[in-house]
Amino acid sequence: MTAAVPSREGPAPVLRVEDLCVDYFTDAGRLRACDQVSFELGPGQRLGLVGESGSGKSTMALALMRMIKPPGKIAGRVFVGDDELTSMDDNAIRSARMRLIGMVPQAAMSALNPVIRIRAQIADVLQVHEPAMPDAQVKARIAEVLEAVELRPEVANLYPHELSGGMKQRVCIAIAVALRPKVIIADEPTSALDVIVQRQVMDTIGRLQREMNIAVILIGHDMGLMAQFVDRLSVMYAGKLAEIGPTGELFARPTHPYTHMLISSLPTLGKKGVFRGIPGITPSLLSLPSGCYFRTRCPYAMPICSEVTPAQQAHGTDHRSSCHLSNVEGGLTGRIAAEAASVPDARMGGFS
Amino acid sequence: MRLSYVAQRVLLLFATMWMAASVNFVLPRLATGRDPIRERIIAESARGGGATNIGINEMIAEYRVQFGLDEPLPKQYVTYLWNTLRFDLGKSLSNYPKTVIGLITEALPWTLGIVTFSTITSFTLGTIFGALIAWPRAPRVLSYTVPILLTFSAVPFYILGLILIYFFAFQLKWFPIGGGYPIGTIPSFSLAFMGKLAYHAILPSLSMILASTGGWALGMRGMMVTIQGEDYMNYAEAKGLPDSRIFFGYAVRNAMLPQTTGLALSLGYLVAGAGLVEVVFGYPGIGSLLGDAISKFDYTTIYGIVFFLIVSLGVVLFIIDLLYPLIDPRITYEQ
Amino acid sequence: MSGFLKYLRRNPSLGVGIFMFALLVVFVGIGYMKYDISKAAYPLSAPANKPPSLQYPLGTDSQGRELYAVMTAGTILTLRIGFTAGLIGLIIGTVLGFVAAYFRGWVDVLIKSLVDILLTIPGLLVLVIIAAATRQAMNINLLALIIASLAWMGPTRNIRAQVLSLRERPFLQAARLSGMNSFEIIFLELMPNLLPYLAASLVGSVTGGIFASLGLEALGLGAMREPTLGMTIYWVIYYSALLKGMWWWALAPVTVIVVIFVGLFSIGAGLDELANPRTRRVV
Repeated sequence: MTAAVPSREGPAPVLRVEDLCVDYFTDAGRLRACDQVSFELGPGQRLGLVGESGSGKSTMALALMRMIKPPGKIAGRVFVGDDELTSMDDNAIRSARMRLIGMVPQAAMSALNPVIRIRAQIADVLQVHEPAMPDAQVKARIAEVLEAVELRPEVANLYPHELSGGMKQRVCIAIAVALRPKVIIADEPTSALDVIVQRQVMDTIGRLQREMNIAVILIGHDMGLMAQFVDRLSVMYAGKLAEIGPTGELFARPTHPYTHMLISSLPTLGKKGVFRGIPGITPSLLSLPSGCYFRTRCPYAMPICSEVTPAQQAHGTDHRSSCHLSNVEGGLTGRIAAEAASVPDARMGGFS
Repeated sequence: MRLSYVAQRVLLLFATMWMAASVNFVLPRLATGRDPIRERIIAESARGGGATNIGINEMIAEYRVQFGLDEPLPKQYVTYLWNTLRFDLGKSLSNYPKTVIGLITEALPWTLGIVTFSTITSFTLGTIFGALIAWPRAPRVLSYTVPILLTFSAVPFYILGLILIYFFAFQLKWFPIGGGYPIGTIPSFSLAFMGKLAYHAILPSLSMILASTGGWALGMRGMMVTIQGEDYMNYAEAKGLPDSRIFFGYAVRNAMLPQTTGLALSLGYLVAGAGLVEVVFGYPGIGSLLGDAISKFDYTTIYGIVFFLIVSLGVVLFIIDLLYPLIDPRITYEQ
Repeated sequence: MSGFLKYLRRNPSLGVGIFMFALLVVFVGIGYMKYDISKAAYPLSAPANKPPSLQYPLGTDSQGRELYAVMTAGTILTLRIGFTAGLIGLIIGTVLGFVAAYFRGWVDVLIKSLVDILLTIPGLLVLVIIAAATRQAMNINLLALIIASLAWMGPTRNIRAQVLSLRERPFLQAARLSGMNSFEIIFLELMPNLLPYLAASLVGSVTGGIFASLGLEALGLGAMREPTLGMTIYWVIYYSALLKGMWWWALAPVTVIVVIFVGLFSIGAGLDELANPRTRRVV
């Protein structure tokens, strides 16, 4: 089903995901939360991953770290550098976590153990992955990473409840970079923070990943944040990768109607019109429509959409999507233009 | 501030004492309305048990003076409060002229011994066991013990005691049928006597341990299940920590907090349960003293024991409350 | 009906509990058909100290009671005490909990402090004094009332917490804005949401009531003439029945008590699962 991953020039990728699937086996039947996802990530690259709640973003993040628990099952392959995470035994995958592939958790507010000091929570990562490290060095490293995330070293002596939300998130970032992994997954790292702190935390993540040349996967649904932060953007819908490509290109020339709708739902200063949501809801993974999963909400659905699952197609280097419109003359862009011409009122200034 | 918290807690302790003493003062007067002392002493002597007839008039006279029964009620009340505050709980009606506090001090070490031993044992065993049952990577066999634990934890201690007596003391004769030490031996601090003490304490302790281990295990299991859904558990796994570290440092460490609160809250229940176990085993502790006092209509002793236990439990709770910040750093008692 | 059976397969605790009580109903039913309870459950109605036999299925005690008849009467009496005490406690607790949580302010402070102080006092011990002071007049209903007098603090605290959390839900805000008054809100909006929760906590307070009644009776503070389960335990201890080898005298009440407690515990766990779907499939 999946088209071959287009090969790119440049350094070898640090993260390679091939046909990653996550299935949950429940009483109600099999439920595929992540469906044949493939992509690559170069060193120091920033990839954004967007989609509505329930689209499989967080499931994919867990699957990349191999943290899917029964009744869930992972299929496909994940490589970090030359190490294949998906074939490792339990001990090897445990030592790969945070060392090869780090994580900044979604719920920083409650991700830290409430009853032990920050020092111990950073130290346990260091000690587990580098058992030979002498205590003095552990202590120095703790101060060093805290400084790297712009916290004073004394923070190590505090308990989580004594920190603000932004500080807790910084501690999590410090833990994520403590072992200088090749990849960090940041799952909505700022969703619980207020706007100003959000901005500062994102700046810290950006600075550290540049300095240490760590690749980052930023998960979220804030298209505005994505536009500013990531080099490449991927869009998930109902467990599938709908579209992936360079951020600028995706914003300028989306080739999947869902991407287009996400972009036009973004309020900008230029738009005087009404904020447009996306009509309809994400389909239940237990009763997905036939053919293309998005067709029930797609304004451009065609007869073929309910019959054939669209295959992934390349649009130039490093830009792929799965939509039947790509085979129609003019593609998505043509359809949008045609629609705008015929019913201008419905577009409410979207093209002003 | 920490100091103001302590002060507040001391105040609560005194409020508890005052309420307990007041109930002790008011209830007997409400229930009979007439002369409580004479009535009871006559009822007592009429049964021909406990006290002999010789001391009756003396006792009545002494109690009249002690309680100042001719005085107006408010004055009686103040005197009563003052006396109980000094743990002057009066004299036993059935063991006259022994003082109630004297009887309690004789019986206290027995109760303290088995209650402390059984509580610590069952709490430790139950907590470890419950934590293991809830741990997904522990052997599956453990989960089959849940129904057995449920059954044990649902049954009152003394009911289990009856079963143990029948099988292990009466049928198998492995353990003595009752009492704190063999009849005819003289209590001493010799090793041999200590051995006999332990031997007699096994069955009473066992009935409490068997019945309450299940409760602790189930409580811990529930907490562990809840905690496994917490974000910090997922994050600990993402950190690549080994199972043992996640189990002890994250899951057990956090589940222990409500478990300890549970211990504090169930102390009253434990003491009441232990009292009935003593009655069943004829063990010479406070429970037996209370049972005995009830059967002999010895009201001063009944009220004295209840007051004493309420106050002691209040003190223990007070100490636990002060120690709690040591295990939960979030609680600092600061406003 | 088949839907209910299907549900029981997903909620085995509730199934076990219902099964236990079905056993009790059959046991008591047979007892009622077999005996004239008003006579056979009282002393001197049968030869003393007989072990179980065809004629006396559960044996007789030293005072000449037929133990099957005693168990028939005792199961009902003990459950009656527990239910009366538990229900009264729950009703008082619900009212106080509602009042405290709904009106807040000084009412809440007062009720909450009272509950907090009383909860630190071991209830059974206080019941001992009350029961001791009233023992001359003791009967089944008085015992239930005495136990109820200390059975309301737990429910008060729980209901208060529940109402406090319900208060903030959007549907209540909507009801307030649409001009319903306090009582309408309580009875039309809050109560229906609390019902499953109340059912689960009724089981808890009934268990507590039975536990307290057995304890008081075993200490000798019950209604001495009545053939309740707790009084039977008292006589077993009083006559040292086990040391005389009269195992049947203890076996009957111990078994019934175990069945009652395990049954109540299972039903409670089952109802909890019904009331808090969040914990479903966890236990």
